[in-house]
Amino acid sequence: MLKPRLETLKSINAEFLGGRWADDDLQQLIRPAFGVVSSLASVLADLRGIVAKDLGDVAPHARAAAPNFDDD
Amino acid sequence: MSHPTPERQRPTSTMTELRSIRTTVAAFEDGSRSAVDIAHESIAAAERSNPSLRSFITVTAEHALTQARQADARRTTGCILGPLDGVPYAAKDMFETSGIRTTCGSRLLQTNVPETTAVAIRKLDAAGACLIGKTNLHEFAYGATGENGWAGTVVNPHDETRLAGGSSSGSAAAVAAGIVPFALGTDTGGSVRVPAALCGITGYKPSFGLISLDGVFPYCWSLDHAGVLTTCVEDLTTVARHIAMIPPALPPKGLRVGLVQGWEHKCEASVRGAFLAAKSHLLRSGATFAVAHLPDQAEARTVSLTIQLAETLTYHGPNLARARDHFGADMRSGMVLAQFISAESYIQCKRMLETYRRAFVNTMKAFDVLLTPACPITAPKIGTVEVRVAGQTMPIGNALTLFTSFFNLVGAPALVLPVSLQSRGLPVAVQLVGAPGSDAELFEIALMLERMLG
Repeated sequence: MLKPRLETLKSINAEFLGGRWADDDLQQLIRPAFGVVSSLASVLADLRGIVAKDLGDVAPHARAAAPNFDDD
Repeated sequence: MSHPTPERQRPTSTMTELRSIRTTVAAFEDGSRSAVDIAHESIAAAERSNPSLRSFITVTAEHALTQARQADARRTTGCILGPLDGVPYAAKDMFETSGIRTTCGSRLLQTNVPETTAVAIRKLDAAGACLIGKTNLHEFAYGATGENGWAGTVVNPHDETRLAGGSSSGSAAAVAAGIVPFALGTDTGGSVRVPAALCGITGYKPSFGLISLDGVFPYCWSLDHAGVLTTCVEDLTTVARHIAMIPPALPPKGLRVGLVQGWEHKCEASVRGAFLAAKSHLLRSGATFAVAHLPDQAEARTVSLTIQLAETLTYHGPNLARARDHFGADMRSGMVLAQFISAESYIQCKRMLETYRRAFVNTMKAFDVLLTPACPITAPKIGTVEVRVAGQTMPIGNALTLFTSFFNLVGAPALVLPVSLQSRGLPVAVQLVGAPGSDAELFEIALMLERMLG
């Protein structure tokens, strides 16, 4: 599993994100679990498998909203 | 349409008896109470219970009483608008209300007063319903527990040491406590159905887009659904038909029910008991059962999370620079996680949505409905961080939405209804899911099951 390091996250934050995040925000990301769902490490590991899938010619978000009568 | 309303377990610690739309209208019709009387009762109940339940962020007393006076005037002249005329309700504080504060449960919006009103609320206005307040929620609808560091955590009317569930926590608690007969909520991964299940009421998430989200603050454009919470299925249908285009339908003959393999074994014993009771009733009515195959649910949860967090960062990110400290801890942790998800991942997850939808539509050709447990656990204690489900430890938010979030990915209609057990413990519920667009048929099946469970 990928293990994000705080130093790496801080560098990205400083060099590419304009220091958008505070250190305590970034520190959460290196914990095994945080917030209400999951850790960054586990999400990134799962996403590696998802991104590797060959979905053929399926386009994103082809689903349309059902008709409704909301334009009164 | 008229069906007997089943008796429900009564909340033991807080409030009065459950109110249904039918009993409210009956009071109007027999002259025992006016709409103003009922509105006063609802407002008083909301204000009396709020120090403990925390179900409301704003009680709109004057607004409700004005609407109630107009309803009474219509009734006097015989110009009744329909079954919701004069009936009080509440709306999750994600729905914009012109001239009424709309906070999304966030300190960031504590003084926000919109100039427009959400379409769903405009439709209820047109039906004569009386908005008595805006309900509490997990901040910006991100979270399944209903915990809120700014507005206070909504507690469960059945046991105030326990969570109501979220994110439509206040809407569920207000209905379960008998404050209002119905409430509006939103559901991105289970946020109507989870609190409905934990609070012992009915909750409905429609097919994607069927109830307008115009005027509802977005949490995740791709997965958000507006929804309804009531005390019985009949009331769900009544409200849904006023805010969405749902055609009449007949209950299917020879009901074909799909079961998701293994889900019943991922539940607490009481939840499994409720599921088996519902299954048994359907079996006795002649329904047939077969296994419905769904994709890898762990992978689907990552797809859901990725889309949710990326979209919420996109929407809320611009506010970070000026008001980072006004966001609660859960929102900040979700958004910072999203920052490190690639565009490629997000787009691939959006493509996964389409593959899921195609596969699900195909799966549902063999079934009229899926029957599942609603939540694997009963209402957890306040402060619970992790729970063990089927021998696996998982974050509480993950556990609560274990059986609900996939159906947002495929845009399927789904509703939960409580199952009364002999043990009279905490509420337990089952979930019914239809094929996308089959909302009317789903209501008919739910009415049938509710009568069986009566």
